Amino acid sequence: MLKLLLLLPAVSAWSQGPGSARESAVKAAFLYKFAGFVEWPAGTFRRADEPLVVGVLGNEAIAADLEQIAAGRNVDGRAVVVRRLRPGEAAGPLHVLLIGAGPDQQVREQAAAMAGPVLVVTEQPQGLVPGGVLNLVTERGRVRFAASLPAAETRGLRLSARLLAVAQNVEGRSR
Amino acid sequence: MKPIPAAPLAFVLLAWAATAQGASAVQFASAHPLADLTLEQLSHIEVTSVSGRPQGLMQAAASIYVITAQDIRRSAATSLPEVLRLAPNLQVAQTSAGQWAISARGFQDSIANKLLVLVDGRTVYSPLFAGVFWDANDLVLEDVDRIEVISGPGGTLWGANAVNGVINVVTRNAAETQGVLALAARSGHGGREVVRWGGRIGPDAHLRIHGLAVDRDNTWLPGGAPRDDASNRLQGGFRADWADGPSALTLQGEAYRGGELPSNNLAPELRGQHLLGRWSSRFADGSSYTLQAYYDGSERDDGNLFRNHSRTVDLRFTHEPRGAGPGQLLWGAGHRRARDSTQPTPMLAFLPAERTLSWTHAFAQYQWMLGDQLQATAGAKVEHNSYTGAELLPSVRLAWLHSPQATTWAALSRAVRAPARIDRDFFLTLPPGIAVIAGGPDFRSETATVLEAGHRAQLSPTLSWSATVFRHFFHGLRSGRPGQAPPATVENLVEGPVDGLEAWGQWQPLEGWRLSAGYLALHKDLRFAGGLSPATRSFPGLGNDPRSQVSLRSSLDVGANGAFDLAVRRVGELTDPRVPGYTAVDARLGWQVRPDLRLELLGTNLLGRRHVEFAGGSEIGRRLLLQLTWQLEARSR
Repeated sequence: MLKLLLLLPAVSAWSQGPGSARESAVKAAFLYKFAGFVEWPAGTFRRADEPLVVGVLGNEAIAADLEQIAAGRNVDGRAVVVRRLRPGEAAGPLHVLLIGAGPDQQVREQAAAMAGPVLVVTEQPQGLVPGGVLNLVTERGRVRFAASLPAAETRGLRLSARLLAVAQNVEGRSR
Repeated sequence: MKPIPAAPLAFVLLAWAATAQGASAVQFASAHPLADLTLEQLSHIEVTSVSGRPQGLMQAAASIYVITAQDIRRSAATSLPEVLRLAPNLQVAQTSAGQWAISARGFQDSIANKLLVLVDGRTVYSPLFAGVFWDANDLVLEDVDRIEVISGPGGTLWGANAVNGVINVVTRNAAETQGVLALAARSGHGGREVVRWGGRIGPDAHLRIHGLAVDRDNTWLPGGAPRDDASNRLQGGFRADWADGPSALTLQGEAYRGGELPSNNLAPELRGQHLLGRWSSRFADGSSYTLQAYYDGSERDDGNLFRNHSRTVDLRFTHEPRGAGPGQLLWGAGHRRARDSTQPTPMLAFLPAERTLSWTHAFAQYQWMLGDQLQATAGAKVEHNSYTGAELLPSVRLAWLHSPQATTWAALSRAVRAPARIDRDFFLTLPPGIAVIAGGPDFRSETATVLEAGHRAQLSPTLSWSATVFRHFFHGLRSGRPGQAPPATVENLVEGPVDGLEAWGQWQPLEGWRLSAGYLALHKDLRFAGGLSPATRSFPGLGNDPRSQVSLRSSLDVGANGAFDLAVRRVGELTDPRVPGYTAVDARLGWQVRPDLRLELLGTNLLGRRHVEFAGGSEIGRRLLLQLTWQLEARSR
């Protein structure tokens, strides 16, 4: 009960703004959250406090919201650094990459250009494209996401069962 | 953990709904609080498409208004019908303490039969007259996630009876109502109490249990004498939700009893219970499906004239196959069976007294893009009923997506109201034994050809509007034959168009101030078919509707913990028979005393003058309630 009471201030902020927010803010929050449910291959982070770098390509609104969220927060003890990217720009090492909505072909190419252990998150309305690990969609006014196990495996990423449980759709799940 | 309405809600039509509030939705001042939510909670947040891709709502080719949980909380409403007053595309009139005449696009009556109402996928429907006994239905408003109000035909998805509209009440997933809530609202003329507990019953399973007590005082007869319609109601129920990846199971049920002894037709003795299970998941190919079954039983006894007992079972399946061409296919099938028994009295009888009716349906709907901007949706339902056999309910909808912020749409549908017990099996005898109505052995379905067009636009992040014009051309509306010596039989004799306009807009001039306005205009031009009694233009049996209705609402945040909300509505004169127009003002003063404690003063009809809202109805007067809510929310982790 005491624990409940301690949670109250945060809870009331949530309960008073009942369930409605900017799409970009919710997507940014998802991006921030995802990192806690993904395991990068050993050696990806050289130091325990090495920052988590999130690149955002083609969606300024999400980048802005994510910068706000990231300020002063961390994921498993790592600071979160947001990097706004331009198309064609060499991104440098990234851990998470959001590719804003665009023609499938273009998004596919952008995903392919970022090989290796990068959690590539897209927001394609028609679903996952090859190379994308997670895809954010708005369904019935809520932001949901789909996950691709083969794409995660190719990139050496492990998606936690908890993440998959919330995913609206998981591609490549055995069974 | 999917939101409830399940697949049959159709990707287009109702996907849209959740964002309907557009600019009206209160936005978080910053993104910060979102970062503290769990993944599950994030998946349940409604988003406004201020940035990013447009979704659902803006693109739907139908006239939909969504009443949000926020709208409900910021209103003075303490019952479901009062909440429905928030939808500008509905006509809502209170007829007595617990009874209402509610309709969309006309034909308003306390036994209105052209509106389909669902609560969490369960049709709230009496097979006796194809409508809703509003006094038999109440719910914990605090658990409502949203109410989707579609005016216009929805038969292709929902079947016969969704002629003029569909109301879809969606309650929150049990995972979203964790913790404890206790509420009491009291006035000098009745009140309402709610208790609810929500907890976790497994790694991915949540439960809530609720109890609801409502008591209503007498209303007044025109002239000022009290009317004997006071009643009490007790209701209890539960909802359990379990989720595992793409699969979700919901079980929910309720039982209630209400009325007051000795009962009368304004405050009958009521009893009921229902139990619903819904399973949604995905097949191996990734396509989603939903299977739902429910049982619903109800009893109604008014002590003199009417004693009814009905039991309904309903089974439904829907599926969205993958890869069926370039668009998206939705199909489904279902069966409902209802047995009712109504004890005959010397005056009133349903013959046979006991009857089992069944409805079986199958439907398919396909949505695809014609080029970049034109979205087409075509579908049809075949529904078989016990009285008239198979009925076909097709519709075609087109939406021109100008931009993410603007859509123009048009739709053509055929709507059908299949006969109910009251159309075929109803016998009325007035003392001293004069038969007045002697059934309707030849009554067929009422049909309508409906043409609608609308436009909606988000002009800025804080300003949006929607307007719809419609023409319903009705055939075979219910009537007795003019000039016939009693007893009359119920026949399909009236036809004609009903035209109208529905419009609303929302504007948020300041962060803490929202304004909304709604307007409704309606014109009925009914006449007897086949040259019968050409001068007759009055059909009191076919609803009593205002020609116009205007509503205005303001929601103002006062400081960090206060709120002042005001709603004004002007309902035009009813003509058949005449009831003067009226203006009513409702207000709410809210104060968040502590994070877990809220105090509210709710007032309805504050102008003070009693008014009558419907022919034969009570005078409705001022009501002031003091409401105290204590809420401890637990977070699901």
